[in-house]
Amino acid sequence: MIAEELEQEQNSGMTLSDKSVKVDEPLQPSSDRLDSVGSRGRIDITDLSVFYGHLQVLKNINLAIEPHKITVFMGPSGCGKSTLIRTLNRMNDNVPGFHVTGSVTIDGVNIYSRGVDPVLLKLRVGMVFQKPNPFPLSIYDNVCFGPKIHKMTKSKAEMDDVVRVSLQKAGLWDEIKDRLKESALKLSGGQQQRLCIARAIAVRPEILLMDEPASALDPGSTTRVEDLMVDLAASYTVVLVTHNMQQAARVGNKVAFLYRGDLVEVGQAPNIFENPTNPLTEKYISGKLV
Amino acid sequence: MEPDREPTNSVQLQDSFSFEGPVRPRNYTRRKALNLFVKGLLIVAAVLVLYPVVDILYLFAYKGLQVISISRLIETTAGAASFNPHAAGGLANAILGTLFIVGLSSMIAVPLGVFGGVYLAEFSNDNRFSSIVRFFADVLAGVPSIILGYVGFLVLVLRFNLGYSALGAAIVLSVLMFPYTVRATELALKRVPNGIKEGALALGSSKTTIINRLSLKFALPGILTGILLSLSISVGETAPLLYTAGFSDYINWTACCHTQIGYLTYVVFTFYTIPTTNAIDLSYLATFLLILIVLVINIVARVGLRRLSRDLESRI
Ligand SMILES: Nc1ncnc2c1ncn2[C@@H]1O[C@H](COP(=O)(O)OP(=O)(O)OP(=O)(O)O)[C@@H](O)[C@H]1O
Ligand SMILES: [Mg+2]
Repeated sequence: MIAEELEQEQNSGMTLSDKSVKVDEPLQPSSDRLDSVGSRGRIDITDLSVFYGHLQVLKNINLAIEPHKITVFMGPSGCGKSTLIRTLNRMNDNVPGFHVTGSVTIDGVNIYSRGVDPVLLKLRVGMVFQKPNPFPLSIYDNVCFGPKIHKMTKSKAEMDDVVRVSLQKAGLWDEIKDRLKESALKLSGGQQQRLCIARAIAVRPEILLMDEPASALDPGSTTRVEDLMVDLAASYTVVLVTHNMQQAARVGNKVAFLYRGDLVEVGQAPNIFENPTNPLTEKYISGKLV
Repeated sequence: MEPDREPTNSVQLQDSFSFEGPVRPRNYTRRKALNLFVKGLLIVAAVLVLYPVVDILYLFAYKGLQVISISRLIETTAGAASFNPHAAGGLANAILGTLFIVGLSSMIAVPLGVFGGVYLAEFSNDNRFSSIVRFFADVLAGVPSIILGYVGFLVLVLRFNLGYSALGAAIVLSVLMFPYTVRATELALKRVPNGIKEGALALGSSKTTIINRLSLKFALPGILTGILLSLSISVGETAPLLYTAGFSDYINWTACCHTQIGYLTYVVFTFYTIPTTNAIDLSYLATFLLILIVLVINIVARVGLRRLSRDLESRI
């Protein structure tokens, strides 16, 4: 059932937005939700400040992240991009001293409000990391890890379909369809990263967070991952962190520029690079910002 | 032409990087000599360490193979220590007793140690309690086993009235094994790459799911190494058993209570002082068997676990 959904999305280029999800429901992984995934995934960040203990890393961020668009976070090292993106699926909850003020809502639900299970939240908001991090399991078991622990399929055949479709979406299927039982650690770095993307979309999230997903890859693999991001944006909300301005210009719809915890400028992708309004942005783009 | 220029370049390159050139450091000769000297010292140290090991192995393999026989493996020590010149007997009760006690003690120490290690590595957040546990585990590993034996005697044999028994002995041995299993588990779990845990977390795994499905699998070779190490230590223990197990000349499968049980280290410790050839032969044989068991455990730990961790990387 999941697989069919996934496949449909892939073939029809995504138009599930008419299927509605109730605002207070989407944080439950019920089968209802799984059937109507893809319709939503709007993030609203309001007056968000993030602290590690006494250190304030993000200051009063306001930003809307729209569904089916690629939103890019840029800025110099240490400005808080990773912190911001990890705040969107509560990956930082276990960091000692981490706390937030303000709100992050996904389709109207504040994800930091009580009653939101951070585990279930991560089912809706998937993540891909800078360094490929395949599990020391087979390729197959990597992809089915999420669906398996959440008991999302009823039969082996259904699971096979989920694995196949996820790998197809990640553009990896043709390369590895005969080696599904082999260890994922035998794949190349670029293949591993696409496997991690397949693993993330196998649980059918609505939002995909990618923290410098291509920075450890060669140019060829980078292009593949970029193409993949554009494809994925048809069905998911994609949030991307990158240092690569060409990449941001190629794939980004909206670019948010952060500097020392402040959101300095937000703009449409090609525009912000050609006509930045903020002097800081301009300096960063011309490589003069330290 | 282009190709002509290339060789010229590479010749120049080679020249400027030649090791015989003037860039040779001034203290070069002294450094080389010192290097050689340290290397020599290390080889001497290695030989000094190896010599006793090889000597022990040789002596007891030689003696052991001289005195080993089927009957000495299947008969018990009953009457073997008498002054009767025709005394026979074997070590069956001691061999089985050692395996029984060590088996029992690992049934206690392994689960406790693994759970303790999982707690320390994953759930304690390095709080006060966990550093106390860690400290006691480390201290415990350094407490002379005869003291643990005596405490076992006072607490288990007398206070809890177990009498001499396999159970009492196993409990004392498990206290001895615990620090190794708990610390090995903790360290092995802490070596699991953070990226893997984060990847699983981002898929909506709970902490227990991550531990069950990924971390423990990844840490398995390290945990097993700790268990095997603790096993080989407890197989060779004497003092705690003298205080808690007593000794029996007969095969005994009763764990509890007031039932003494035989074990190999007792034979090594006491039969050697009995002036009959048979008793002394049996003590040589017991030593040989102990060394053999420890050797087998170590080989399994090295060869088997290396293969296991290789498999973890490549297959599963
Ligand atoms: N776990 C943590 N505990 C305390 N401070 C942290 C933690 N993680 C990050 N920081 C601090 O928060 C700030 C922002 O870090 P963050 O990782 O978000 O930057 P970034 O923009 O992703 O940088 P980069 O481009 O180098 O990845 C830095 O000053 C960093 O030192
Ligand atoms: Mg970062």
